[in-house]
Amino acid sequence: MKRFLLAAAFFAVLVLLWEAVYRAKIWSPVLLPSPRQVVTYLEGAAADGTLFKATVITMRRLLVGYLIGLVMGLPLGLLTARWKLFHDTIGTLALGLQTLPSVCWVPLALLWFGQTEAAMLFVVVMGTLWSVVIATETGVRNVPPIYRRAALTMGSKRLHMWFKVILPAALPFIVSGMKQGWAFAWRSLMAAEVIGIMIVIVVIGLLADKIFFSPIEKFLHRRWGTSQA
Amino acid sequence: MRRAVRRSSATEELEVIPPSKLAIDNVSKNFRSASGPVLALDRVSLNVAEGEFVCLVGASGCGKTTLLNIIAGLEKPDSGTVLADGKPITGPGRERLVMFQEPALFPWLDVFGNVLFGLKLKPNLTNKDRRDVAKYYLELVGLSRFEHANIHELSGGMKQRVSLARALAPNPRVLLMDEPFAALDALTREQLYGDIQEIWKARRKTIVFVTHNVREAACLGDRVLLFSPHPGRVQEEFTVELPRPRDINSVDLAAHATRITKALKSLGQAEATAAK
Repeated sequence: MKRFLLAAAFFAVLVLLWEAVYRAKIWSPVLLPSPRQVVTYLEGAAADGTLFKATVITMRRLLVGYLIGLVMGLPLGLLTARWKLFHDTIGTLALGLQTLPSVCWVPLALLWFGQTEAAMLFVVVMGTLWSVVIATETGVRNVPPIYRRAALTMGSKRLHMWFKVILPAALPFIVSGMKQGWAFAWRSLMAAEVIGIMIVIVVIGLLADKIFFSPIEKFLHRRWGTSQA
Repeated sequence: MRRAVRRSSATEELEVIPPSKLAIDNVSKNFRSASGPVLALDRVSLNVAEGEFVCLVGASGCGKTTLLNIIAGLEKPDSGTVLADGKPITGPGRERLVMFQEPALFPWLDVFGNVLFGLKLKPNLTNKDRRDVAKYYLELVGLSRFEHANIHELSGGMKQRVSLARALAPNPRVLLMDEPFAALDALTREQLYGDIQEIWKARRKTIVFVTHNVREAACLGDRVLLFSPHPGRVQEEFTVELPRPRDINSVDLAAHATRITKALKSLGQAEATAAK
């Protein structure tokens, strides 16, 4: 409870600061609206349904792009972990492109695809894909060799080895890559949409983290015994 | 002629099967290290009879684990032959299962799932049979109550018990044990010495057991082979003829252990003078 109150106080102070800066009239209200104006706008948008519609569209773009990134990223990560050739080519490409902020893709996507859904999707996929590839590869490479040896003696081979030993052993890494990918996808979409619903985006992003990733991470830590607490 | 598909039952699966004999002949193995190739095994020959309990003793780095890995089929010798029941070993197989020093249990499976892992890879068994077999072995190692525990919740001793159950479950003919008790406290270890002797008697396995603990070797082995390091060779062989089950603290056993320790020490001194 005390923790919650402290956190609440922190955000209250943040809003007060915002109000104070607004009142100081450093920037015109068009550039920096007051907290009250923002809330009124959001209320209006929520009441006439435009907020809801916009949220649904955003979520759909995000989910579709994220899924495409996952479906492409997982197998690519496995390939780069398994074969040197893929590691030297796709692995290097992934490493390079991952360091590129996804915002950089926005102008290119707009030029290539125009202001279409395809442009949005492209940006989201680019945000997700590479971190998933890299996390999967790292995860597979970090599987303790003794697991593989133990499984070998018990008769596990090829596909069985991949699906029953290596993938589960690499899962904690892969999930943290998926989480990072989600954050990147979110940010790239924000960049692509560049509209004034920043707060909504932040809140939904946080919620997704708490609702979706936290339980998975908790489960993994419990099972794998990697919890630091 | 078509071969009839035969399903074996859980009771058949639990039958005691004849253990293997091993014939290791002139096996050499090199490793590459930063300071050039290291001869880990130098023309090692050794026979293990059906159902025999053989302990390999020696200082760290004397190649005893390498030999165990070669018998397991996890590594290939540079030269020499390794036969199990007269057939060359070409790769790992569930006839020869390994119990590793660090528990190689899978943390994404619970205790039961770990014991079931090898059984699931055995064809011609129904799932119910597999579960029955897994339950039998968990009971054998005294962990029935922990079927659904997560691996990291277990103590070191319990982990090694699960490893033992997992290695026994597919009913191998040979059990290869690589310092399985080295990381355990003395009390837990002593319990496990009793258990492993009982299980060995009940399940009739050929066991090759690697350790650097001389007393442990004298307590468990029919024969104790002393390995010398650099290059790895079988230096001396001791037969331990004591009635079983043996108590690690008995006086007779201590006498055997002293004999082996002396030989081990003189080996170490010989090497020290050679190094000078």
